[in-house]
Amino acid sequence: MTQASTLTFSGVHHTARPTWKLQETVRFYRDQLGLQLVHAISARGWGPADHADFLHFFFDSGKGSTIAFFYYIGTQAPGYLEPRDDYRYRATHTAWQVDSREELMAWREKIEKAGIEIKYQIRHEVIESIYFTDPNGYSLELTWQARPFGKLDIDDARRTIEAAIELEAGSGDFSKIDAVWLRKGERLLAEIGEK
Amino acid sequence: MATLFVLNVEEFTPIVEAAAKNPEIEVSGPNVLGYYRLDSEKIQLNRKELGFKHALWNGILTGGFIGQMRVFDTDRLEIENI
Repeated sequence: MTQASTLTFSGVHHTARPTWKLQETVRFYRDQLGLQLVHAISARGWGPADHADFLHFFFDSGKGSTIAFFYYIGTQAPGYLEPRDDYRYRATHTAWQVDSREELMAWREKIEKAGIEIKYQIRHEVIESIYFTDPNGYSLELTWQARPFGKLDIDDARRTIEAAIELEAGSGDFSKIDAVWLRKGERLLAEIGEK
Repeated sequence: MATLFVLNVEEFTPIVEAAAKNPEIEVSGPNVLGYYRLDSEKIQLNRKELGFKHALWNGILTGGFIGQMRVFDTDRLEIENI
């Protein structure tokens, strides 16, 4: 029997979102990006009394992961799900991984040839990504990671977030990231002093 | 002293290399926690000299610092002793 202390996830099975553009969604993910349609559920609405009949379908996105959609028959998108041109809306996104920068650039060429606009290409600290949008307005990212995360990254991430949590819980000024950097500096100094 | 901690990972190495060439900055480390430490009355860094893209530049202080930030714009960073 698997012990609770050794339980881990094995990766992403699926993430899901609604669509009101069935044909466009299939064309984009299957025909333009080339993700195989691997599973489709078609069912009468069940559960909540007002649940519409629906299709739930899945595209293979590698290593056992899929990206899935719900199509609710005979319904219209509620206003709160309308896409917005806002960084906070785009914060919810899917980032797929490729193995190298060469692959990323090959994907960029493929995506552009398919007539899909690349919004940005950005080199971050450890990853480099291209960004684009699906017909529903959902943000997508393709990324390659230059190096694996190690113990230094893990410990540093904890220090950054702990400093920020301390500020979030406190009553001082937490309107800029500078506060986190200063708090982290103070905490590091104290931590080194203890060593 | 103004102090800047720099995590010992390859993407931040240019900061340490630039500081090492500046006689006004004392560079030590990496310490047991995995950070280089830059100490000076005034720490000045330039994005273009480091060869940093904007995303990395905007997170350049993520290791933490102690001091007074005088300048932090698209290309220049200046931290002074408090």
